[in-house]
Amino acid sequence: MAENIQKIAAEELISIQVINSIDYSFSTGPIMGKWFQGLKEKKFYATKCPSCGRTMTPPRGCCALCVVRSEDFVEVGPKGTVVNYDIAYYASPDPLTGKVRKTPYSALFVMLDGSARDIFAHEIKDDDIPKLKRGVRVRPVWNEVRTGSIHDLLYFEIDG
Amino acid sequence: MSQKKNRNVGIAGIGMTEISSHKENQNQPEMINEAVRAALADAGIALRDIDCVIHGNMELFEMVHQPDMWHVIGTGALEKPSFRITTGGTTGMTLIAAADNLVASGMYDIVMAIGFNKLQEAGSTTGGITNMADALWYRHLQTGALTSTSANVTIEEIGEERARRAAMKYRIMMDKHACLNERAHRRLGLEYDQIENLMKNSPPLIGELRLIHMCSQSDGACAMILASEEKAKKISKKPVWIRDHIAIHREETASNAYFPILSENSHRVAARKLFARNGITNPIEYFDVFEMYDPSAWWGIEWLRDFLLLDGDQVIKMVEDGEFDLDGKLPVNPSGGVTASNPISATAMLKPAEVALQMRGDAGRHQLKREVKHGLASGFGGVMWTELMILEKDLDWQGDNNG
Amino acid sequence: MKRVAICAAAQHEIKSNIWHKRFQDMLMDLLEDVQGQTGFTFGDNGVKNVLTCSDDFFDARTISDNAINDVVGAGNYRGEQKMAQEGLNGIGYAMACILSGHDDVIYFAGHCKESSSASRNQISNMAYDPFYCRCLGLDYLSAAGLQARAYMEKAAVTEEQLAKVVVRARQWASRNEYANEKTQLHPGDVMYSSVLCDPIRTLHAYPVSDGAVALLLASEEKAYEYTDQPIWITGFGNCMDGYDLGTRDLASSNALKKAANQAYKMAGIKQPKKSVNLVEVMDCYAYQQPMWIEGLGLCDEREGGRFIDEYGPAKYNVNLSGGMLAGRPLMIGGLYGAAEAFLQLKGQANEHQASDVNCAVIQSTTGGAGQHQTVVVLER
Repeated sequence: MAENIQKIAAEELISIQVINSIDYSFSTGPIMGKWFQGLKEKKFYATKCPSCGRTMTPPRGCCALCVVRSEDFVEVGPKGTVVNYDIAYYASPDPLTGKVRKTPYSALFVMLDGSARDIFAHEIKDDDIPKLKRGVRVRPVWNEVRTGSIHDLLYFEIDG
Repeated sequence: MSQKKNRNVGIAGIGMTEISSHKENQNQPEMINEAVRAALADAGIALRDIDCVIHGNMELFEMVHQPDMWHVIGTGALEKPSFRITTGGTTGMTLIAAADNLVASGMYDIVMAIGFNKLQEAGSTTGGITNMADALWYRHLQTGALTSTSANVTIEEIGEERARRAAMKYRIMMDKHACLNERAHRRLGLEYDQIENLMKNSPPLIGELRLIHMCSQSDGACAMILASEEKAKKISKKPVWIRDHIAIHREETASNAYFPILSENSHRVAARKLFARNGITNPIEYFDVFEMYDPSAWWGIEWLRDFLLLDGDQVIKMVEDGEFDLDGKLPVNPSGGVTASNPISATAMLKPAEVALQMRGDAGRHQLKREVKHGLASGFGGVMWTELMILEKDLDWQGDNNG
Repeated sequence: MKRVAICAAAQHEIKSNIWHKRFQDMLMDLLEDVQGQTGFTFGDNGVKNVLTCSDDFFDARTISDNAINDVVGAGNYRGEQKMAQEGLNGIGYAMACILSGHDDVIYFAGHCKESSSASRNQISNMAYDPFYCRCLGLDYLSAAGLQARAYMEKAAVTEEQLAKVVVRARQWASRNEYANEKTQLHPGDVMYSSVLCDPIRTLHAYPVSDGAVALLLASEEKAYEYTDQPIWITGFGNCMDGYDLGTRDLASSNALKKAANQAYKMAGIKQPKKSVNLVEVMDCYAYQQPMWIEGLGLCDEREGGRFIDEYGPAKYNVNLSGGMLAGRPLMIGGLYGAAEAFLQLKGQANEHQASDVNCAVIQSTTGGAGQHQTVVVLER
C-alpha cells in the first residue's frame, strides 16, 4: 500500500497548499475597554466580585465562581509576584499574524499586588529569563507609545 | 445522587483508522468513512440500521466551517437525524456522552458517534490551539497546550531528579504499551535504560517539557455505535455498558489554570463527584483499567494523582514501582495513550473505545491478562476541562449502588 | 413518554453590528434575564449541565464555547456542551439529556455575531471542500441562488410574491421589540432592489445580524419550580441532505419533510394543516419562506406561490416576529424562532401577539441551500 501511495503521489497531485484568510474585528465591550484605557495610563484595572471578593485581571464582567455580575473596578499592581512560568524554546506561529515567534520567549503567571485569587499572564524581559523563579518580584515595563492595546505593556522585568 | 437512567446503553460497535502523522491518500470524508465502515463491520450491522449520527471535531484546525455538511459523504448521515456537538479536546468523549444521552432518552435506538481530526491539514496544531485564547489579550502569549507549569510544581514538591525521572519513566512505559498496539501512531521502542539520556538530550520545547514528553500531532478518526440495552444485546455478543459520565469545566481565563487558585482541579472534582454518586470508594481497587487523556508525561503523572484521588507522592511511588504497567495494580493506557496518538477530536473517543476493547478481550497484543470488568476513561480539553466516564462489562452494578 | 418543558426564554435585541458589546456581555444580560424569570440557580439542586450554541468561525476562536463558560454558569466546575449546528438542534438535544435521566434542568444559551467577520460569505465559503467547491467560490448565498432559481421555477413563485413576503416581514418586525430591520418597504422597493445573487435581490436576503438567545428547559417534575406556565416540547426531528448540490433535488426539501415527519410523529400530529396555528421558519432568503412551508406540509408541493397570495402566511401566523428576513444571526435563527413561539404560546408577544395559539412549529436549517433541517413542535 505504502509503495502504491508513493507511486500515485509521483503521478497525481494528492495535496494542495492553501492559506485561508478572513478579516475580523473584535469588540472590547465596556469592561475590556476600561482595561485598555488603563494600560494607556500605565494602570492595571481589575473587577472585583461583589460576592466572593476576588479580583479579575483583565477584568471580567462576571465572576465565574459565583456566576454574578462584577462591574466594580479596583486598581491592582503594578508590581507582582511570579507564581509560575513557561519558557518556550519551540517556535509556534502567532495565529493573529501568522509569523513565527523568536525564541526563547516566556509566558509569565503573576499575582499582581492587591489582587485576590487571580493570576495575570504576560511575558518577562528576555534578559531576565535565566533568573526566572517562582516567587520572584516583577514590575511592568511600559511601551513609550501606548494606544490602548495589550502591547502597551511590553513585558515584566525582575524588580530589584 | 446516583444517576437514574431512563434505560441502559451499550457500546455495540467500534471502528478506528490507523493513526498517523499524515494521510495524503485520504481526504477528510474518506478518512471518516474508513472508521464508519469499521464500526459497522464490528457491530455486524448496516448503515440503514443507524438511527442518528453525531459528528464532532475542532473546525479551525482543518479550517472547514460546519464540516458535517461536507463530511456527510463519509459519515453516512444522509437522510438521517444528525447532530454536531463539540467541546475541544474532550470532544471525542463528549460525543460518547451525548450518544449515551440520545439513546437513553428513548428518542433514538442506535446512534453512531464520529470523532476525528486531520491535524496535518491544520499545518500547526499549536497555532490552532492558540486560537482559543482571547484575541484581545491572551492570544499572543499562549503556547498551545505546551506548558511546563505542571513540571515546575511537581519538581518543587518532590525534587528535580526524582520528578524528571518519574516523568520519563511514565513516558517510556507509555511507549512500551504503544509498541504493542498496532494502531498507535508513535511506537519508538524506548527502553528504561534510556531515561538518563532522554532526560538530558530530548529537545526542550517549553521549560521542563521536552519533545519526548509531548503528544504527537496525528491524523485519525474513531466511530462508535451505541445502542439501547435491547438492541445492543441483539447486535453484539459482547456489549460494553456506559455506566455514568460527568463533565467538569472551569473558568475561561487560562492563567488561573496554571496556579491553583482553588484547592482542586477539574479532574479531581470530576473523580470525586463521579465516584461518590456511584458508590466507588477506592478507585485503584475498583477499576481494572484506566485510559487517561495524557497530553504529556508531566501532565500524566500529575493527573493520575487527581483522578485516583491520591495525595503527596503516592502516585510517584506507584509510577516508580510499575503499578501502572500492563500487569500492575491498575493498568493505565494499554493503548499507549495520547503521547503515542493524538488525532485530537478522536483522541478522547479512543479512550472509552480502548476500555471497551479490553473488556471484550479484543485488544490484540496489548490485551491485559486480567479480566477487565470495570473501566475508567477520561478526556481533557479547553482550559482544564474534564470528561470522565465509567464503563462496565456486566449490567450488575445497578442493584448495588444505583437506585 | 415523559414531557420536557421550556420554562423561560430570553432574547437579546438583534442589531446589524453590536460593536459596543462583547458576546460575553450579551450573554450575561440573558443569564440575569432568565434567572429573573425563574429564580434558577446552578448546583446539585439546579443546573448541573449547560448547553451552548456558537461557532468557531463566527467567533474566530477554536473551542468558541470556552469564551463563554463564565457567563453561562459552567465556569464553576459544571458541565457544558456546545451544539455546533443551528441552535434549534440544541432544543432536541437538551430534551434528550433530560429524558435520559442524566439531567432534569438545562440552561441553554446561544450567540452569534455575524458582524465580527468582514463577510459572512467568506465564512460559509469555508463550509465547502477545500479543493473543488470552495475554489469555485460557492458559499451559502450562491448555493441559495441556485436553489431559488430551481424552486421559483418549479413552484411558479413570482417576484411579486417574494416582494409580498419581504414587505410583510418588515411590517411584523416593526411590532417586535427584538427585531433588527424595521424599515418599512413597498413591493417596488423589493422588486427593484439590486441583484445580489441572481435571482436573489438585496432585499430578499436577511441583513447581517448579531444576537443571543437563552432558554431554561426542565423535566415535567421540575418545570413548575420555575414557572406556572411551562411550554411543552412535544415534537423534534432533524435530517441531513446530501452535500453535492448536483446530487440533490434543490427544488424540493426532502430533508425538511423527513425532519417534519419525525417531529409530527413524536407530537402525535396527523394533519399538520389542521393542528398547527403558528409557524416560525428560518427564511434567510425570501424564496425560502414558501419553500419551507411546503416542506412542513402546510401547503401542497408547488403551491408555495399560491400560499402567499391566498393569505396562507396570515392563516398560519407565519413569522409574526418578522422572521429571519428581518434579521437574525445564522447560528441561532431557529433558536430565535423558538423563543418567539414560546412568547406567542404564553400570550406574551405584546404588539405581535396572535390569538388562540396552542401549537407552534419552528423550522431551522444549517448548511448551504437547506442541507440540514430541524423542526420543533411546541405546545401550550
